[in-house]
Amino acid sequence: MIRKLTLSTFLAAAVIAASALAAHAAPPPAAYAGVNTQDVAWYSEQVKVSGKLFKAAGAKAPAVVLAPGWGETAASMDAYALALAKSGVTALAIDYRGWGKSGGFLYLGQRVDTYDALRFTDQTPDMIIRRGRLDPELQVQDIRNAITFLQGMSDVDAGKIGVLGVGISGGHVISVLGMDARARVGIAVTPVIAGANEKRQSYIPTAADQAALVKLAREGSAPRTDADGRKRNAEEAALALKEYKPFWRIDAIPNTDAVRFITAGKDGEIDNAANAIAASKALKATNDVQTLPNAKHKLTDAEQADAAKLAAEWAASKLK
Amino acid sequence: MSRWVGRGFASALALAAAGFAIAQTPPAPAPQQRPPITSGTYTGPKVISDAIITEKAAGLAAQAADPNWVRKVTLPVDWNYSLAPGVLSRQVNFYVDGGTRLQGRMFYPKDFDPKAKYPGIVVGHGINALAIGIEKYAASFAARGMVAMSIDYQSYGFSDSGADELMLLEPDPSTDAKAVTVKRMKIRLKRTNLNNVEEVKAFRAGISYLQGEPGVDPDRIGTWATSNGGAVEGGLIAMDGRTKATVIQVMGIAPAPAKARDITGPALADAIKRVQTGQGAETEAGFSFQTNVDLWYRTRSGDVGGGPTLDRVRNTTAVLFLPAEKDELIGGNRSALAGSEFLTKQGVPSQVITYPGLTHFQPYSGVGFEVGSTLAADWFAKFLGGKKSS
Repeated sequence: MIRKLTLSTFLAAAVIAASALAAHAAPPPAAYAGVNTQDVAWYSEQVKVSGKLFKAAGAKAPAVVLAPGWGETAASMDAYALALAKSGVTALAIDYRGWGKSGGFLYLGQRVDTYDALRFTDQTPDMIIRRGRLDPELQVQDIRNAITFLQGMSDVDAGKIGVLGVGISGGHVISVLGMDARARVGIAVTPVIAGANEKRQSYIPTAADQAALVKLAREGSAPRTDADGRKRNAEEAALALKEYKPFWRIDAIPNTDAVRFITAGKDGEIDNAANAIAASKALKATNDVQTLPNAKHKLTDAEQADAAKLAAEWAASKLK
Repeated sequence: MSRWVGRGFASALALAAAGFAIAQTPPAPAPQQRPPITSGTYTGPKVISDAIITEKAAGLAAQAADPNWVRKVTLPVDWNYSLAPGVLSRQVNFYVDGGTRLQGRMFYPKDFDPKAKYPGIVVGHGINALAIGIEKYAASFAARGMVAMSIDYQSYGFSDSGADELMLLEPDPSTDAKAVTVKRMKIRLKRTNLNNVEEVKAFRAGISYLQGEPGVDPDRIGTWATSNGGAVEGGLIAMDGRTKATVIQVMGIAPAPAKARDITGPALADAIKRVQTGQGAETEAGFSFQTNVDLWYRTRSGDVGGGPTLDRVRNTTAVLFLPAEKDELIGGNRSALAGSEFLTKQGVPSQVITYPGLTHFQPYSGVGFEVGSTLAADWFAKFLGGKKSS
């Protein structure tokens, strides 16, 4: 029985994700046999962020950014990274700002003197670092900055860049391709691509959401305790998700791009017809939909290996 | 050098008005790329009266011709204002993007009654400017019976810098075990981070703040902005339907196809430097307030589309354009005419009233200000109404 992903299930997931602050154990080194990996760091806006690079052989390899799912970290992307690297495509699994090995979001914990004519000043105030925030548009920007990082690597072909995302990050794949022509190939695994059956128009919050927005604007200084931080993460994620409509960016994707959708045949969380399949139909670029017939929304290890194989095949052929 | 940069800024504004991405590729384009000034005649519906243009024709003509009124920037004398009798003002803090403190200045009408319901207007400044240059508009709206709030965008004026402008100069001690870490740490704080994405967020937080202000009717909110702030409003009204009336001064939002934007050449080289070091190249961007900004703004601000998302504006958001006929930065009123025609066709109340003879920086003072602030208040009065008893 396929049911639509309702907002309430989504929000519940967001709350759980935000409060769990997922911790992942590093997989055993043997899993990387034959693939050269490297921990790398760069800046996304002003935050030092982290990722794991899986290098393909060759002097100028195509490359793909691996965008973890909602509340996940780079460590959840190993299967995809290994398959891609073994197919000749360098893969960069990223931690979003405020997750995994990446730095958090900074807020001033006290008033400081500033003067606009002095653009940069070094100061030592009380600072507040927030982690576990889930904001889709900020994640999209993290992916785009990771693309830039890859383009700056001497052994990456800057003209052959792709993006792979899982779940909500499958929606980020559509967002990035629709915003940024540098990404030419997309792979969206069990993607959540909100907005297919909604009129494209400006957002008007419900009364409850408006009250939440008012409270954040009037009283929402940066939280100072772990409990307050977790509560705020959940509140802000719920509000941000309601406005996130990656489907509305499909029209902006160049015809020359290539997108593969990989769906779970028995997905009980989302209605594929309103997500991957609707996106496939709306997309003018080359695309296909591959289905893992018996899979549910959260893929098993074996299913993830199959998805990784399909992803690597697509990336290797389309980024040639 | 600064003359070159000025031209680059002008071209960036012109592209924004044309609905395209902000120019992405430094160095600044050649002077001939500045758009020709080709203002046209507005033929759409007259939603509000523009009789004041005729009534003040002599004064506007004098301002356009008088050498003392020539403006390539706004001058401090242009920012001056005095509060109308009974209008009160105070500073307030509001919060954006997870907790960054911004500052606004509230203006309340004479005999303000917090138990009644007044329309509320968020008032935003132009490119690399400060709220002190446009508080006079907020004060004038309060004199017309509205609650108005002028705001400094993030990292400008009295507002704090936020996550996009704060860089740790020591290792980040936080881990996923805790959602919040509070610690005294060494940082590099950046100011004047010109970024239209952040400016849209500031406007939206301002709207939320006003919606919760005692005496403000949360269902009757308007916005006013000028120059690049008008381009920000173009993105805002496509994104946030809480705005019921919008005034866009010396900027137009022409419809444009949605299209992924490429980043190439020197812009890409600068982007790579940013991700590798945390800081890319700087450029001057300010006409009125001469401070540097990140060159990256030319790429990032393009993410606030305006033109490509104009079809998302609801017919409950009324849009008035107030372009200047001789606008040397966006090339006259063509982009305003195109935007208004598009909106009118899709049922959005819209109108263009052009300042005859004036250039980009002239409407902020003199007869230009008198005309522009009156027309803006007329627009708000038409679509938001006045004081209502609760």
